Amino acid sequence: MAELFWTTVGAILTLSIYSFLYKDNPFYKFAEHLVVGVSAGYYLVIYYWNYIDPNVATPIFLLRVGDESIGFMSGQWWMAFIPGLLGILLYARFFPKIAWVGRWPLGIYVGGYAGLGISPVMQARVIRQLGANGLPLAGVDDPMAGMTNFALGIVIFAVTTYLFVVKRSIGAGNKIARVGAIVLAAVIGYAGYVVLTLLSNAGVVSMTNILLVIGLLGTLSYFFFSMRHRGILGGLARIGIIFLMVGFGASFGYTVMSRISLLIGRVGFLLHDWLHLVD
Amino acid sequence: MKLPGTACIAFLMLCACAANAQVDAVDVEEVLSMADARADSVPPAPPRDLSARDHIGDNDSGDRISVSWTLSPDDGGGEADVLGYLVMRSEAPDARGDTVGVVPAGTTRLVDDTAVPRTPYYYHVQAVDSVNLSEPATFGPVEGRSSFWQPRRTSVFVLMAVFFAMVITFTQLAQKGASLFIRRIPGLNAIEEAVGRATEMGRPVLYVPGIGEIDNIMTIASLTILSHVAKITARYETPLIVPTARAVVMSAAEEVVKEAYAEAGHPDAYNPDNIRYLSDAQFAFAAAVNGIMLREKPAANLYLGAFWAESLLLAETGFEAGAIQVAGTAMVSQLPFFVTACDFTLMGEELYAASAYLSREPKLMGSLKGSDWMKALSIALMAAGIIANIVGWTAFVAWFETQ
Repeated sequence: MAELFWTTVGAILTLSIYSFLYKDNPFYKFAEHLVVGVSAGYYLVIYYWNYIDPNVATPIFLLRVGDESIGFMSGQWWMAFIPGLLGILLYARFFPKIAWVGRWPLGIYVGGYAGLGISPVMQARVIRQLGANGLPLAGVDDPMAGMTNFALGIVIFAVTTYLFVVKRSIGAGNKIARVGAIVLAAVIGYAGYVVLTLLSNAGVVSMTNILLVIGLLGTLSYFFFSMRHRGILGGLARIGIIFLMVGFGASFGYTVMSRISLLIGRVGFLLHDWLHLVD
Repeated sequence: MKLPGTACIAFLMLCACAANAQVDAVDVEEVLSMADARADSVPPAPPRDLSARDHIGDNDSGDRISVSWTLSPDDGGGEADVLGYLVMRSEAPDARGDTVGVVPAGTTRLVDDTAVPRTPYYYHVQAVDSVNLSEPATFGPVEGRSSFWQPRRTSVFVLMAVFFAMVITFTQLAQKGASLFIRRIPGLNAIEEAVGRATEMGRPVLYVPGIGEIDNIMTIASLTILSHVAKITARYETPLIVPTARAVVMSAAEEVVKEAYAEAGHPDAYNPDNIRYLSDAQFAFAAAVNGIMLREKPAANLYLGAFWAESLLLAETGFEAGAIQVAGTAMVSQLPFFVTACDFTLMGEELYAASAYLSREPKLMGSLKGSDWMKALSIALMAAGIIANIVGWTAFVAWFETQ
């Protein structure tokens, strides 16, 4: 009985949130305020028992770290007391006369985290990426060659179609000529795929590595702010933005797929767990 | 010291299972096959010249100690009945301690990689034959200490030093008044246009600094831009609503907006109720911000900071509400949603460049220029890596390996 009750509550709140798709309404407002209030209370308890109690309250007042007893004024005690004091000083902002005191712990917090983060971020996001991107452009076994060459063949077809049909207006007013132009573009695209495959198999080029290097150069050029995007830099920046947009499109499609799966989960909850309409 | 034969062999088997030594564990079958079945009442001679020292190696965190000794005279000579060596560790010279490892005969060293850094240890090594254990050779105290210099991370040190030198140089140039060029970033002009539009329509500006914590660099960049936006809204007397998902971020945002209003000469216009903490929970925050968008109807929505899955919820609702939207984040997974649903998007480093572009503060300008030239250096190093690969100079690429 209790399970049915709470399942029904969950279903009603789910439908209340979904009612937002129509327009703002009292059901959505109720569900919104409920989730904001409950989450605030929930996180207060979580933060106290997971952070304040083991790291500050227990070492200072119970003189214990985990199961181990620590002495008053011992190293562990001071290590809990000083950060705890800094945390309490943050509340000074509620008293106008001493509000300035609250800036000190905030400054220590921000500065400390920023400083601690410099070396690992530099190592993981810059140095190791530099090492990984000094790639050979030929003479290596490329396991992605098939997929890369096929994609490049599609790109050649698309670009050729654009040049023939749109730019040069081949077949304007003549459907047969236009279809012929598209077929010719497809043949050129396929020929490009075949040539690239032969070159890859012979180890003359590694198209995957070449594409990676070009994309990286272009993207770095796009984010170069010290010069205007003109000339070679402008061309590289344009290539970079194309690579960025292709990447964003792929990421968008992939994420939409995962969001649909979340929707499937919610609909499954409504139809299976609540209404028992499906197995 | 005398032990029953089967107990000795069983002891060796137990030690082999329990040991965590660098040297290969003893092959029990090999030990049994080597065991002399005849009763032996004479224990082997102990190993000689036992010493232990802090192990110095790549990425050494002080948890390794090298133990070395000279072979027992009965190992390969004398009685020639030594089967192996038992290495134990204690924190007092007289205590027996824990087994560190068991190594076969002929071995003269072992690396203990289970030491607690800066803890003094005593090591005891005993030669073992089929029946007996020798008198222990003891050495100590010895402590493991992390290496001051990690050779494998030399590249991190060098490149960080170069980067800091660039940033400091450009910061000093900016402080001396040198003109440092930053190209125009289209999305930034849109921020002022958005605030102007909100002022004309008499509706508020909604500024969402993301749901990252205050130590997130995107949040810090967002708060710098918030200062600039707050000065504009103060000048135009446009309400500015700042919902936050973290209590510390709310505190920082209050400070930033209050100071901006004071600098703009409108301290009375500052309304602390407009800087709101909503919820730490991601989707509770998104639901609450959606509610603000539909009820308070801001004319301009600015999403600048760290966002996760709630980005599309916010951007789509703002689009439906008819607001002009400018977004900026370095979260690659969320940029596609902002690009799709917002009028202008600051991508990746443009968010960080925005804070320097808008404020023109010397420190921000210096760091932006420094990172720009670091990018140029990265391109050069990458090109050098490609050439190194072609000519077979693998040491160059290996220099960037930090593990």
